[in-house]
Amino acid sequence: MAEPTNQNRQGDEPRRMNVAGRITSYFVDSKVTILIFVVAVLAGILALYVTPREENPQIVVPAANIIVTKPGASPKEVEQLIIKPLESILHGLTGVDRTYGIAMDSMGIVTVRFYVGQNREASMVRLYDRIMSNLDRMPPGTNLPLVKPVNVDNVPIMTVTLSSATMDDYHLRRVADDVLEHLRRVKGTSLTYLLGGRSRQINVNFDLGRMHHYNVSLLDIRRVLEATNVDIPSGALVNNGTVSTVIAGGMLRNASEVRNLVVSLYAHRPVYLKDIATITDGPGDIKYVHRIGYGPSYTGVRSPDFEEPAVTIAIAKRKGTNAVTVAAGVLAELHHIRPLLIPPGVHVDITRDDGRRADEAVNTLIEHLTIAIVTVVLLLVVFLGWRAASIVTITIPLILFITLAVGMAVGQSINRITLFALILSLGLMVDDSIVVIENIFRHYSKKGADRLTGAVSAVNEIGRPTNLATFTVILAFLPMFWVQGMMGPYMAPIPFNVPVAMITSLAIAYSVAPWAAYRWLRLRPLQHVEEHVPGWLERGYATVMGRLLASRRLRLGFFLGITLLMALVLAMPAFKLVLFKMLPNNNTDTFNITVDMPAGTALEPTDRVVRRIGDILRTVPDVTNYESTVGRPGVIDFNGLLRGSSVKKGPQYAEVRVNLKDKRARSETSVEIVHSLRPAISRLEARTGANIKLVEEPPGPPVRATILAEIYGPSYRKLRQIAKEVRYDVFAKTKDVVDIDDSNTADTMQYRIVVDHRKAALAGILPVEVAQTLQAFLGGYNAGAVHIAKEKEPVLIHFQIPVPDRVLPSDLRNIFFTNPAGNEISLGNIAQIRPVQAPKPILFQDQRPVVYVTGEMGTGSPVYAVLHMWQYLRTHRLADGVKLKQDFMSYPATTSYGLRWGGEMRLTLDVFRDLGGAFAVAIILIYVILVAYYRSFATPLIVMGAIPLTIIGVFPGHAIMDLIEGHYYFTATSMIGVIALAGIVVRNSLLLIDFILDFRRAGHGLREAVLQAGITRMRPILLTALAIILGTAAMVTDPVFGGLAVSLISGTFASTVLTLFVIPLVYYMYERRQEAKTASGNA
Amino acid sequence: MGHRTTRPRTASVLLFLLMLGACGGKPPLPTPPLVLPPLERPVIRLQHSPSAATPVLIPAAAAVVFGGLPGVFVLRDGLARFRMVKIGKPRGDRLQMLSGLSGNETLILGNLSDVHDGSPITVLQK
Repeated sequence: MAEPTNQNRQGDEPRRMNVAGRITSYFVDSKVTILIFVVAVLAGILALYVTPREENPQIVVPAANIIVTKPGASPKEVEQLIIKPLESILHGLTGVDRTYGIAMDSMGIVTVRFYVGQNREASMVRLYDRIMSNLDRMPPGTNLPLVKPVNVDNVPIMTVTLSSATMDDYHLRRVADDVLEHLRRVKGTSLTYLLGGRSRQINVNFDLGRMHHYNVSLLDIRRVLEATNVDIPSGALVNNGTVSTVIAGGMLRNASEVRNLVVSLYAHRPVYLKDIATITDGPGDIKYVHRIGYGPSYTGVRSPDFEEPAVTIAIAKRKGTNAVTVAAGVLAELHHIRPLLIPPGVHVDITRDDGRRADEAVNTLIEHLTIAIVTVVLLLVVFLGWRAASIVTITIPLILFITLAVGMAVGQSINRITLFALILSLGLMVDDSIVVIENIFRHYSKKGADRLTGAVSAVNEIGRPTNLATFTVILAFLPMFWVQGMMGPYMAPIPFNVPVAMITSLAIAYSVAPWAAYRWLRLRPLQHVEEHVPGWLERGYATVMGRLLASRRLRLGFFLGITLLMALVLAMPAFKLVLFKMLPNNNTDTFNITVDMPAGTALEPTDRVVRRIGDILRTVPDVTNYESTVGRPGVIDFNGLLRGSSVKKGPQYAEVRVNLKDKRARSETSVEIVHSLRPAISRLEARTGANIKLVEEPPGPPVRATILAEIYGPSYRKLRQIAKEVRYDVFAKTKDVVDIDDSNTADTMQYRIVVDHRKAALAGILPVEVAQTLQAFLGGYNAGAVHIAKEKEPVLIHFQIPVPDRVLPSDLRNIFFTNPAGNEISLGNIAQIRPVQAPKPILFQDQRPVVYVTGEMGTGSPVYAVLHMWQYLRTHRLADGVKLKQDFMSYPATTSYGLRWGGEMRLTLDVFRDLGGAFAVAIILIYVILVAYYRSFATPLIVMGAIPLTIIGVFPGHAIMDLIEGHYYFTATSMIGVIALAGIVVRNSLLLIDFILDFRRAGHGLREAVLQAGITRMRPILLTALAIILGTAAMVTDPVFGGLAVSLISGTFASTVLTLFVIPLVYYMYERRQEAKTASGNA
Repeated sequence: MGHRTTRPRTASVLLFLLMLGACGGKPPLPTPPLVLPPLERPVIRLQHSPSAATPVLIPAAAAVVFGGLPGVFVLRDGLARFRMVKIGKPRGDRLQMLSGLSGNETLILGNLSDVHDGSPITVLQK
């Protein structure tokens, strides 16, 4: 900085001090500063160890399923009587974002999703209130609605899988039951449950022939059992001053009591249950299968079998607790009880440990942060000398610690995004201290300066521009708080932590930095010389800049060049040199495979397909193990929760969760592994008719499907037809779209038993008896539970007809009823069995009937696949002549057929729209604050001229990465980088303009002032830029946040180089014109 | 003076290194897959016409219970592979298959107690 400025500023310094100066004068020689130091370090370490760790920030989306049953109602009836009224009732609820309905046979489910970030408890209370107050509107014959909240906190953070080659599933479950009892005592656990294995029950297998013989019907037995299996506290007897309670009843306590139950009389002799049924105590029918298989990377003891039956213990954690400590507690307890409770032949595998995952994710990033700090420190040593550098260095952990402590205080968790925010602000947070130290150094280099007042006045001097520069950065980030949808809370740590870190860095720069500088900053003659003699960089800059300032033609050429460059860069996306995507895929250690067989497929064929998937998985070198669940979904994860996979219960569904070895020990990413699996999986699909999806964990918020076409229209039958055409003619023919599916279900057969009312009435049988008997006959019937004190799960008494006796519809004819007269009436006499096509479910979204067509991306970005399909549908009619009206944001009109693109495409559009909006708001805010600072409308525009220059770096930066890595996208994180850049580059040009103004106030000519300011500011500007570039370089390799780093590095690079020329030149030209105007005005 | 400035930096670097150390540890090597001894067993090739309305029948000796699941061992690529089935009524020494077999499989017979899912099988000619 030049001398005249200081005189100018120092003149009024002792009396009028700004905030910066006052803070410094208080702290520069105070013992409080040492306290700040100590407190910050302690608070920071506490925060690091105590704050809950997560991999990604938790997104709270209150949601609930409302299940209403109306036995016998067709889907059409359910639609009219239940779904439509219920959806309209719920739609009016405050805070409700979306409602989804599904009308099925005898049942309707409405899913209510509240806006992201709504209070969960309050939303649920409102929902219950709404439903309870509308109960009177329920149509007759409907059962009470069941409200099942979908709770993120119930997603298990840990699963422990027990498996054995020798023990069957039933005994394995009993072992798991014992283990679970211990594990759920661990502090911080909440919901726990078991998956796999069959529970103990009393199986009552009826023999229809003997029931005929004794003339006992199912209903008789049921009545007897229900009347027997009760104990009622009947009151108390008082005698002799003591009270004895009396309990009456005949509760059944074991299988033999059930066996000896008298169910009827035949020829004046009792008929026992054992006379007409086989009663066993043990596992029941197989409803689903759960097992584990081991891949090549498995490190435990191998089983002789490829796959073993398994029981998985799932453990969720309480809200607000630290997954890391809960998981560690569970593991410690497991280790402790293992020798006592788990027999030697049982394998124990930890198949999910989100605590460890979170810890590893956080530790990896702390590692990155450390590398970033070390590189920045090395840079500082080179630029500032080790003494000044070490003062700046001690401020870095202080700022980080205080930021983490503030985060802990407001209840944030430490997650990947928090740490990215810290890495991102690293380059910026050292800047404040650098500016302060540099200026103190300059003051000290003057002869005869008093160290104390020198430090204070040095800070005071740069206070205003530093404040301003810091606030522009904060302003650039703050509007990101207003990003809507699930992406909002996901990114929220950035607009929170960066401003906190910036404010902290400012405070530290004014307090701790001058305090340290006052004590330790020493001058050496060499350094003195180094600082003030221009190096080759400055000389080179001066030459080029001097020529540009001198020649008008050169200047014009320069600006033309910049404009041309800008135009070329902006054209890059159009030529697909820069590709857009919401978020790139993350490299994770796990993925899921879901199997949907055609509706009506039995458990065994589904199991066969799943075993084939296991065969494929066992050939993948990086697979450690995989858990298959056939007949129901596996242990739910966050992605599955929002995709609604928990409703996929039935023999035709299966899910395989694949665990890979640690990503750091792998050469292939999970994305590549999944990609390499696809050919084998699609061959299996073609062979078996199954629909198999490879579900990767999304890097950001989950969506129902990456590509989602919602098709709306007046006729549902037509919608199904259109969906089929969209699926096979559009989706299937688009490159890279895989895992295609639609919400239509396959045609299945149903047997409808039509009771002839006249015949039934004449025989004395009520249709309800028919229905109840059939239910017991086919599905089995739970007639209460036996009362065994020690059992951990209820032991149900299960009535059923053995499987071999219920195979064909003709078997149904053997069912009989007994009328009040005691005569046996067979089903065939009073009813007809007719095969019909099963009615199909009807789906709704926000009260509109909808059919979904879904797809995933093999490789590449869904943006281009969707645009391709959009273009196709825009220009083509479907096979049956329908022209779909397409929308991206709003719902199409319900009078014609329309398609709305959802999934990741809409999320992408929403996020880029919100981020674009945030960017615009940030720019306006920066402009406003600059106008207030410069008291000019034009100067801020020149200062902000640096913002568009960043794009010259950002797009080519992504294009280069695309060339190197392949499939590198401009993502939401890249966009965050662009927003951050706005704040950063304005800071540089602001200090540049500030210096020009200072030089001019000191009496320099315009050209000289512009040139000198550039020369003086060049080093600090380059230092800041290099600090940002080196600081963020550690992030480049991250699959998700690499885009942010690339944006920052390339944008800072381009903008810094260009700012040094463009900003002074524009200012020069502007001022020249102004001067000319004034001159002509005066003349 | 100099050592005073370096100490906090060293401390902070040490602290970070300590935290890194906490997560370290070398991952164990994968266990090599077990090599199962080849077993010699008789087999039966099911010849059930897919168009027939009758269910698939298998010899009762082919049925096993593995980990609580009813099933059979099917010979595929020289290995015994477990296949889950649903068993219906017995017909003499044969069992009716309700689900799980398509009727053209080769089933493994003989002593099935030491046959594992994945055991190599050499066919014992009768």
